Amino acid sequence: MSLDVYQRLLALSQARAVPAASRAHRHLSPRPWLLTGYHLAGEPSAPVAIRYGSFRDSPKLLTVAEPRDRALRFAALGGLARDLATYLSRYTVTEPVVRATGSGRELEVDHCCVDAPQLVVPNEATAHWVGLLGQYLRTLDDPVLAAAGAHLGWIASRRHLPGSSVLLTATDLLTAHWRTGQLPTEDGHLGRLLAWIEPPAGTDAWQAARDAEAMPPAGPASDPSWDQVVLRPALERAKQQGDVRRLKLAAAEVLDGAWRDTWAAIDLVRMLPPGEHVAKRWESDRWSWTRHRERVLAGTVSFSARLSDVPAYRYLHELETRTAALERQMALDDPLVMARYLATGEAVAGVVIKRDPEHTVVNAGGRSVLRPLLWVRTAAAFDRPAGTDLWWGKVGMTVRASTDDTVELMVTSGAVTRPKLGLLPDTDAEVVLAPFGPLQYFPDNLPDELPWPTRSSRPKAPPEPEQDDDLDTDLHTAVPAAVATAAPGPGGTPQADLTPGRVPEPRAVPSSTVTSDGSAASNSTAAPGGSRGSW
Amino acid sequence: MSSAGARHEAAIEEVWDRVRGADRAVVVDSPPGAGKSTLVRELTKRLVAVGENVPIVVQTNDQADDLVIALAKAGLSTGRLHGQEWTPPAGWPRTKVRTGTKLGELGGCDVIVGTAAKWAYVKADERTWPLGIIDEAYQMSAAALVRVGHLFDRLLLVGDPGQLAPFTVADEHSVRSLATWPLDTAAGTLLRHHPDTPVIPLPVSWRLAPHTAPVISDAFYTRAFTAGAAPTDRRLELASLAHPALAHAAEHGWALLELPAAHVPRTDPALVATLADLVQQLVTAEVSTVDPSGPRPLSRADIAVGVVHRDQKAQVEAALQRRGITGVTVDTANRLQGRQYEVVLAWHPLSGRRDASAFHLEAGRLCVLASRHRQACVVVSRAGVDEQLHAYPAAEPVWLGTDPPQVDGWEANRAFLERLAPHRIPAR
Repeated sequence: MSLDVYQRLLALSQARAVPAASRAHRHLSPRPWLLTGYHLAGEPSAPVAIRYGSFRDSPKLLTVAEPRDRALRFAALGGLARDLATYLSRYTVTEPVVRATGSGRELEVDHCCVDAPQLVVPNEATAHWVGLLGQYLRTLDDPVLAAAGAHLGWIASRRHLPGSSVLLTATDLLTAHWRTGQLPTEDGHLGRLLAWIEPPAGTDAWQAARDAEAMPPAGPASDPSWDQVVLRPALERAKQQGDVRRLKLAAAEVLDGAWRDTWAAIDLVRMLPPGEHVAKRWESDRWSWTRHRERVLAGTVSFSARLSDVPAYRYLHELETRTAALERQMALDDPLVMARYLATGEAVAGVVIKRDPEHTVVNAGGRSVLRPLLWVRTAAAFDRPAGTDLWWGKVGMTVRASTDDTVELMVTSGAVTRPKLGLLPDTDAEVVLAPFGPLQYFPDNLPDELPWPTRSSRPKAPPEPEQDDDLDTDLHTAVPAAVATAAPGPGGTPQADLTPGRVPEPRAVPSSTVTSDGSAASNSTAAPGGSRGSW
Repeated sequence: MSSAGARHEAAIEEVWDRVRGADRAVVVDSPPGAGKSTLVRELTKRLVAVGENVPIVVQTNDQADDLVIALAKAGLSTGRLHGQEWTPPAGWPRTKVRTGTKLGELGGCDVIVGTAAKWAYVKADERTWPLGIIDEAYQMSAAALVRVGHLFDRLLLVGDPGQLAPFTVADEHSVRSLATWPLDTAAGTLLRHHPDTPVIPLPVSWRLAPHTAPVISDAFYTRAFTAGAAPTDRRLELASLAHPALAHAAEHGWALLELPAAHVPRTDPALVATLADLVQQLVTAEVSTVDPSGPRPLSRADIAVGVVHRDQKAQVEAALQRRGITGVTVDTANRLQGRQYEVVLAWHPLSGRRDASAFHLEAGRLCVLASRHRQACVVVSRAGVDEQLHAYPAAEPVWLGTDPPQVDGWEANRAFLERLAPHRIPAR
C-alpha cells in the first residue's frame, strides 16, 4: 500500500491536509528574496507589475505604465536589477575550506561563500517566468540589466537539480511537506493549497479552497476580467495622463495575496525542524554560487540554450546522482518519509529480540569469517524474500528467513570484525531497517570529448565562438551564437530573444530547455562540494 | 540443411565478412532467440583463431557470467572483469577462466568480458582494441556507450531491437530537452551518427515455436522473422489434471489466464497467489519437455515468472518460498532480457491498473515477457485490459529532434492482446 495514497484519502475524509514530512527538506534562507508578478497576457517579456524584496512588510513594487514600450520596460526592470544586485552583494563573504584534490591525497585550500542567495516565488509558472526574464535580460547592452540576467539565469538553472534550494516555489515547499485531498494538479494553485493546510476556522478545506480560487491569481498570468475592468483603464490613464497612481494601487492590491501566501508557505515549513542533510545539500548550492560569482567576475559566464555533447551526459549523471541521494537522505532524515518505505514493505521496523554476534560462516576462500545474526520482532509480516538486503545506518544485513512476526538477519558489512561489533544494535533496541545504506560515490567516468561511435564522422560545423565580441557587455557575458543570430542587433526584439535555440521547442517541454544552463550544470559537478564532496 | 538454417548461416557469414571488412561499425539486429549468443560465441572463436584479442561489453553481471561460462566451454581462455562485490555463480568454470577487478589481473586472456559499467573504469591510455563486441546493444544507453566508446577502434553491436529502452531514475523531462539524448540506445545513437553502418538482421528465431513466433514478430518487430523449429519438433507433456491454462499453453504455446476485472494495488495478492499456484503445479506435476534432442523432465531452472515491478518480484518470490519452492527464476522484464526458459509465466503490465502509463505501455516490456519461452507462455492478468487500452490512448509528447520509437507501445499492446484472444481462459 502506498502511504501517499493513504494520506490523500485521509486528507479527503478529514477535509484537511495531512503532514507528509516531519522535517523541513528544503533549506530556508533567513533572508530570502521573494518575487511575484504579472506580465501582459500572452507577453511574458512584458512585465506589468512585479512585487519583490526581502522584507515582508515593505515590498518593492515595479510597474510599467506601457509594458509594450521597451524603454519604459527596461527603466522599470533596471530598478529591479539594482535591487537584486544589492541583495546579492550580501553573499560575497567567503571562508577557507580545506579539501582533497586529484587522487585525494593532497589537500588544498579553496574558498566558498558562507551563504548563498535564495529566491522564492509563488508557483512553478513564476519560476519558469524568472528563467525567461533572465534569458531576456542577459543579452542586453545595459551592464546592470545584463548582470541581473546572468544571475537570474544561474538561479533558474538550479531549479531542475533535485535537492537544490536556490529557487524555491511556495507550491513545491508545501506539497513536499503536506498531502491534500485534491488532485495533484490542483495543488499547483497556491491559494487552494494553503486552504487545505490551514483552512480558516469554521470552514472546511473544500469551502476554503473555493474561496481561495475567487481571489486574484498568483501570477504570472493575470485574471482576464481584471485585465479588462481594472488594468486596461489604469494603463490608459498612465499612458495618457502620465498618472501611474491607479496602476500602482491596482497592482499592489492583486499581488498582495500571492505575496502574503508565499511568506505563509515559508512560515509553515519553517516550523518544522530542518532535516539533517539539508545543510549538506545547501553546501552544494553555496559552492555553485561561489563558482557562478567567480565566472561573473572573470567575465566567463555563458549559457547554452540546449545542452549537448559531454555536458549533456554529465548533466544526466548529476541528475541521477542527486535524485537517488535526495530520496535516500529524506528518508534517513525523517521518520514520516521512511514510513513510506515501511508501508510498501521495503523497510522493516521492529525490536531486536535476540543476537548472535559470534556467528561465523565459511567464505569462498575457505576461511571462517564473522557474520553476526540478529532476530527482529516485527508488528507485521515482512513479505520480502530471503536474500533481501537491508541497512541499519552503516551496518548492512541480508534477510535469512522471516515468519509472521520475526525476521532473521545476517550482518554482512559494517560490523563484521570484532572491534566493530559494538556498532550492532542491542537486544531490545527498536530499529528501522532501511532499503538503502551509506551513500556510495561513483565517478562519472566521462571522457573529455565524445568517442567516435557517439558523434558524427562528417566534418563538424566550425565551433561556436566562446564569446561574441560584438555583443560582449561590460560583464563579458558570453552569448551563445544561436541567440546572437536570433536577436537583430543590440537589444533585439523580445520575440527573437525568447526563441531558445536553433531548434524549435515542442511546447510540451517543461521550461528546463530555456533554463538549462550548461555552465552552471557542469560547474556544480566540478565544484568540490558539488556532487561528490557533500552528497 | 533446412532453409531456415541456410538463411541463418548466410546471415552469420555476412556478419563475419563485414567484421573482417572495412566498416567501422556493424550492427546485428536479432529477434528473441535468433542465436545472438551463439553468434557472439562463434565470432569470438573465429576472431581468436585469427589471433585477435576480443573485448566484450555486456549489460548485466548475469549476462557476463552466462557468456563467460559459454566461452570457457568453447575452449577460449576468458577473463571476467568484475566489480568489488561480484561473487562467482554456481557452476563457475574451474579452468580457462581468470577473474579480476582490474585489467592487469587478466593478462594472457584471449577474451575479456565485463559489464558496460565496469568497462567504463578502463582508461584508454591503459589499452585500446582494434575491435570490440557490444552485446545487448539495444539495452545499453548512449550514456554507457560514451563511457566505453574510446576503447575500441571498431565495433560490432549485437542486440534485440524489441528490448526495453534504457531508463533513468532522474526526471526524464529535464533530459528530454537536451540537444543530445543520453538515453537513446547504444545501437540507435551509433546508427544516428553513422547512418552508413550496415545493419544485418538475423532472420530466424530458434527459441520461439512456429505458432508463437508470428505473434511476437507481428506485434513487436518491424523486420519480420520466422521460427526455425518445425511444428512437430517440440511438445510439453503435462499430467491430465493440470490447470486448464497450463494445458492450453502446452498445446497452443499461449494462454491468457484472466482473473475477474478489478482495480487493485500493484502487488495484486490474487495474481501473486495465481502465479504461485501455477508454479507449484509445474514443479510438482510430472511435466516433460520434448524437443528434437528427446524428452526430459521439466526442471525448476526451466521455469521463469516474469513481472513488471520489483515489489511484485519480491511478493512472488516470498510466496514461492512459503510453499518451499526454490530454484524458479522470478524477475522483472528488465532483468529477464537476453534469457531463455522452457515455460514462462508473465504478469501482464497493465493488469488491474486504472490507467495505462508510458512505462506500462512500453512495447519492449511486454515483448521481453512474452518472448523468453521455448515451449509455452502463460500471461496472467486481470480482465479488462482491452477496455483500459481504449480508455487511455497513448498521449506521450512527440519530441522534436529524436526518432520516434520503431514500434508504438499502445498498438503493440493492442495487437498482442488481439492475437491472444483465442487463448483466453477465465480463472476458475
